[in-house]
Amino acid sequence: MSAILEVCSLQKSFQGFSLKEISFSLERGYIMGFIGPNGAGKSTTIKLIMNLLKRNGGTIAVCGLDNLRSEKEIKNKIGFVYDENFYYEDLTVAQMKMIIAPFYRNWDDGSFQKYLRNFALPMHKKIKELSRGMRMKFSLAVALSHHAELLIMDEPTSGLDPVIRSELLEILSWIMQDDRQGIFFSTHITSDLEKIADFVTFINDGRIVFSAAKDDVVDNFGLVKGARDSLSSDLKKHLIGMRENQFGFEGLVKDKHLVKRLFRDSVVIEKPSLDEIMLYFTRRPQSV
Amino acid sequence: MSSLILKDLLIQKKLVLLSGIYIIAMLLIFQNVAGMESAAGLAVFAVAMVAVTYVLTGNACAYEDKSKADVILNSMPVTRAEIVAARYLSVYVFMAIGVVYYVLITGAINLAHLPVKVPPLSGEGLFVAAFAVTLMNSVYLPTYFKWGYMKSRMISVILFFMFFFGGNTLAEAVYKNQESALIKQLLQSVDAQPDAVLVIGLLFLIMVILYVSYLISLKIYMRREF
Repeated sequence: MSAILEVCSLQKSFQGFSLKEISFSLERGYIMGFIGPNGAGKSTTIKLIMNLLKRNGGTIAVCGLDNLRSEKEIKNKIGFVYDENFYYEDLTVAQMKMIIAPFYRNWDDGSFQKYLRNFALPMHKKIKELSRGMRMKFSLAVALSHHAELLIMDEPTSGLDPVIRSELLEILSWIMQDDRQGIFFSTHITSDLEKIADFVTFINDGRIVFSAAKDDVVDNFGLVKGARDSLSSDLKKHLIGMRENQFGFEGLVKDKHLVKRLFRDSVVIEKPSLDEIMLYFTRRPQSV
Repeated sequence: MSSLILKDLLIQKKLVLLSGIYIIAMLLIFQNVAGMESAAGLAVFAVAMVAVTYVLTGNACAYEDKSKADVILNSMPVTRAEIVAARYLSVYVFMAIGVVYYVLITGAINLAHLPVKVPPLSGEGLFVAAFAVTLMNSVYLPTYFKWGYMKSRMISVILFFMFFFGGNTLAEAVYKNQESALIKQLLQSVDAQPDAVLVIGLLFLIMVILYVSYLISLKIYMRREF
């Protein structure tokens, strides 16, 4: 199946930060989690996809179309949810819909009404009177009401309570029953992705650290623990990042099966969470 | 495009409804200007239209800035050229609202025989007002697209007062010096032109100013990052 989102050698330079030729792609029918610490380049990448920022190099294709040459066409195919509310706060849900709907060629009012009912969104309430969770649901209702093929979400769960976050994740799982769609979901709350993501792309300091199937990531990476005297220089070579205390060490390895074969019972190897993987990659310069 | 203009009305519907107040204020402020029923009346009408478009355009721009609306607008299937064009067209929609209010307010004043002098609405008045509104917004809007509302606010205030006092001063000067040779010659040469030439000439000038301003704004906005 063709890629719904393809980013190739994308570059963007600001003073003090640059996105360094990043590449990744997302196939239809899957959810890709885009993770990384604050300031790693997640929002910059999303803004470049949406042409809110001007790229310095590389290409971005959505549904096989260049995001600059076919900007209007692909924006008809994209639904977006951002971390901040960028809607007009003094307008009601109904008025916002009245403004937004004519922009989309495939706007489906029936779907919008259905999502409002499902999300219990009041039509005549002003945006500023909605809670953060309700605003996010409103953004999602808009994003889903024009038959978007690619849903782009920039930190949609930040600032939401666990109940709303879990509700959002259920909605996304339900959306993905349609395998013609794809979801690109940036977050630093990686536990959300562990529940729903098929692929994970990790960005740090403007570089892609890895972009792979989530199951491969959690199956191959390993959290190695052991006493201090088992921390040999050979083992250190395999560690991506680690921390030590007076009792022992804990570190991340990329190929836990290889480490298991080499060091057998001298260490304990556990399955790392995405959070731990992110933590050790970003700690690397200080600790190893 | 119509959706973008509708948005400019919806986000400030209270102010749109109350914009007639600015017309009443202008009529009252300029009650003592000599020649309200003739040349100065044109300037008063033009200043009233400038005031209405200044307030509504400025407020729409402020609201866009506050809402960070550029992010959402540029994420939807709408081109930057459409966003810029809609901002310019909104100005004339605001002016049309001002004209409707002007007709209603001056009509009500005349019907009620209130002791308020009201310049009658005329074709000439509309052209002078359109010219003044175009000139002011054609200077202001590129600065708004370049720096956003907050940073361009000072420019819009200066422009408004230039038109506010400038229009009034100019009208009074023409009225008081209508016997001077220069003014006479100027008025005669204008009078000597057929109306069609004047109308087409002014329309052409308005279109040129507007188009140049639009191109500058578009160039600036195309480079903007959000």
